[in-house]
Amino acid sequence: MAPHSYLFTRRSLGRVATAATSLFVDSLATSVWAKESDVPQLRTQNTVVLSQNTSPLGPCSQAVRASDAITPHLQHYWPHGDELSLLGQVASKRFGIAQHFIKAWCGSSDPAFRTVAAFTGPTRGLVVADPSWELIFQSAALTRAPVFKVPLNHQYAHDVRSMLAADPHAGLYFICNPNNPTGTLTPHEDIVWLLAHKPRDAVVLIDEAYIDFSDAESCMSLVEQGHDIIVLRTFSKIYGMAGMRLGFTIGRPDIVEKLLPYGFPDSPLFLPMNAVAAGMESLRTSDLVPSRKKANTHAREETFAFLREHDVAYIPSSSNCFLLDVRRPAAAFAAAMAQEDILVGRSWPIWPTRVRITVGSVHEMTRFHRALSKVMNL
Amino acid sequence: MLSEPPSFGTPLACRPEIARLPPYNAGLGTDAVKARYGVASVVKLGSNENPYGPPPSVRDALSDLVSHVALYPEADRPLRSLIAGGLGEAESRIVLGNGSEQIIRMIPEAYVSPGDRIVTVIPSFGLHILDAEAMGGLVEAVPVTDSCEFDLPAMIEAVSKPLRMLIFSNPSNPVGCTMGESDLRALIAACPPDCLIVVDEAYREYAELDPSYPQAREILRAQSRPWIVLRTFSKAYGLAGLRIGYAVTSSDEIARTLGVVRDPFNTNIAAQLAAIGALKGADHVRRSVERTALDREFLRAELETLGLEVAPSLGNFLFFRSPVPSGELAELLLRQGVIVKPWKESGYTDRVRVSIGLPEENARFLAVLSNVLKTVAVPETVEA
Repeated sequence: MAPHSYLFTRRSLGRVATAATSLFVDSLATSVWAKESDVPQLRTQNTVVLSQNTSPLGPCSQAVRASDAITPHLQHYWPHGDELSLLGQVASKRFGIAQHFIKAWCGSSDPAFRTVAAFTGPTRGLVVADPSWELIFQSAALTRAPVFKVPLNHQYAHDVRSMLAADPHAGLYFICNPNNPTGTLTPHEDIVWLLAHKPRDAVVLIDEAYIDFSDAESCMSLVEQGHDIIVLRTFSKIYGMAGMRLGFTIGRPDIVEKLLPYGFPDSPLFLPMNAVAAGMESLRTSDLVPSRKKANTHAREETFAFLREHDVAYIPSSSNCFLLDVRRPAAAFAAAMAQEDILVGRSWPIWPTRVRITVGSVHEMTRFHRALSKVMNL
Repeated sequence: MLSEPPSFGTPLACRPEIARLPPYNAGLGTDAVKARYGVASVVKLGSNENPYGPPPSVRDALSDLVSHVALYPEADRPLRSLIAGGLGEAESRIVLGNGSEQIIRMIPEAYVSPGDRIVTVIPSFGLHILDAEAMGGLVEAVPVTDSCEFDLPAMIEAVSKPLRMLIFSNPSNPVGCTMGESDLRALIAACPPDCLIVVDEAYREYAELDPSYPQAREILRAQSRPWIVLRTFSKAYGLAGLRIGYAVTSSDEIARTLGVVRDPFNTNIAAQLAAIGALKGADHVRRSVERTALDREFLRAELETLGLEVAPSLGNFLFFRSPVPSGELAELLLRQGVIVKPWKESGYTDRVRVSIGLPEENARFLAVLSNVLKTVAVPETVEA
């Protein structure tokens, strides 16, 4: 065996997590969160990871220094006490939205889950696109909410009119923009339309985890206009901090406070301190987003050109991921790519031969092209 | 851009289980206290942190953090393996959380259905009640006795009825009282055979200095009811700022079930690496725990000298009765730069929890408290 440290991923280990006992836990155990990839993901130092939609660049140097500086003070929940306020101030300046709309969380999965917990139930459904981010489905199982999956339209955008028609009395409508896994955009005016026509007591949850890779218009302005909307942001993507766990909700305080009672009352305030310090410096680094967006676009478009040249179908994306038609069951493709030390993402039941590919660095994508040529006989 | 929250129309309805719960109430941080009260320095004794910080080995463990940060923190096996080895448990029965409070949320998510009966104690760590209620559980909280000890007869009576879950801290947070081995055995024996028993041992490292502190896992392993023991790195290990705790479970099945309701990537990689480092710093942990226990008893004696009623405690904190409403006393202390935690649960609003800090911090707290007590008017209905 090569002198590398091999790691099983948590998700691959989690694949065996199916022997749950109670009824609703059984329904969770069958969710896709029980697995991350279609093959167990063994990783070496040389492995190209194109399965997590994370940044190939990691955190910026300013963020690393800030994280290091907080290490001697880790015994405190909040070493200076005002880190949360400072983070909010910096985010307010960066996003151009008043601070009282912004709340920090451990990543965006936690508030996404809480939003479902707060606003759905047996008589208040959840409406999502198909395919889209699956954590939402898992969360709905906990509240026993009916889930309505509405296929993307022919432009691979959320079909907001069909989503409303699927459950006109839903408690929550979820839109991921750009969408995960397609990387495609939903027009801003469609989101505005949904807000105007949704049930009076429903919330629209907008996941903008990938928006900095695209030219899409943020929905934060709709928050300021007073709409029933929560916007999710994360440091796990363009900021390269997936391992640190930090994200935001942007929403009206009277809506976001509904997320707080669930769980320990202060838990949104209990954040990893190094993540907070690194996040603040990331937001202050003004050239981070434009330079990384440019690099991602360059690598993505080079790959798309390669795919077109070799007549491989894909869905054009505005994000750091895209769906590739591998013309065979996704698991077989993933296993073959793993043999080339390239880890690719998962597939969705609606499109079992389309695999999600994360856009890596130019160097990583060059290796991806070589492996793809071999695996698909291009 | 709006500068103030706008006024909105009809409030959005949320699930009734959520609507019944109280809104969150965050205290002031160090810098906020400085700014509001114009004090040059602040003594922070409200959060039961380890004032001596994490072991030096944590810094080494984090030296290579940057190379791990870009990817999601999915490989938690090294830490789980280390914990399991130290405890003599199977790795497959260890579950990590973003602090143990996240696991306290996961437990009712997995096991509590609307209408299920839950027993805990009061005063309590709030989320033992809140998280169960959020899933529709019906919580019965058994008060501690007048002398601030667990009320074993009342707890046994409470658990003798149909019950989904018993959950409590040992030592108690915020009281500090401890349930000994024979009482713990009796309580467990009174629970229905299918009841899930959850013992939160956040302050175990402090309590186990006392030989009467029970080995809960040994007691639980000797019987057949399902169980979970919770531990944290936020207290004795000094990693409150990184967020990591864990559950030891009685079966692979429980660990798998908790894994199913776990948020994806729930423990950040810095916390995982630091926890591995902290486990290598046992000497530092032991020294800080022993010093804190000594200082706790010193502080207890001083508080009693001031005429205050102090609960028994094996934790890194003391719970005492205030001669004025606890919020009022806490505010007076804040004005002089001392942060404590006034208790707000009904029936206990005259109680204050104070963490054991560095000796000089404890001394400042005592000096400020002594001065404050000379100025407050003690209501006739409240015993001093």
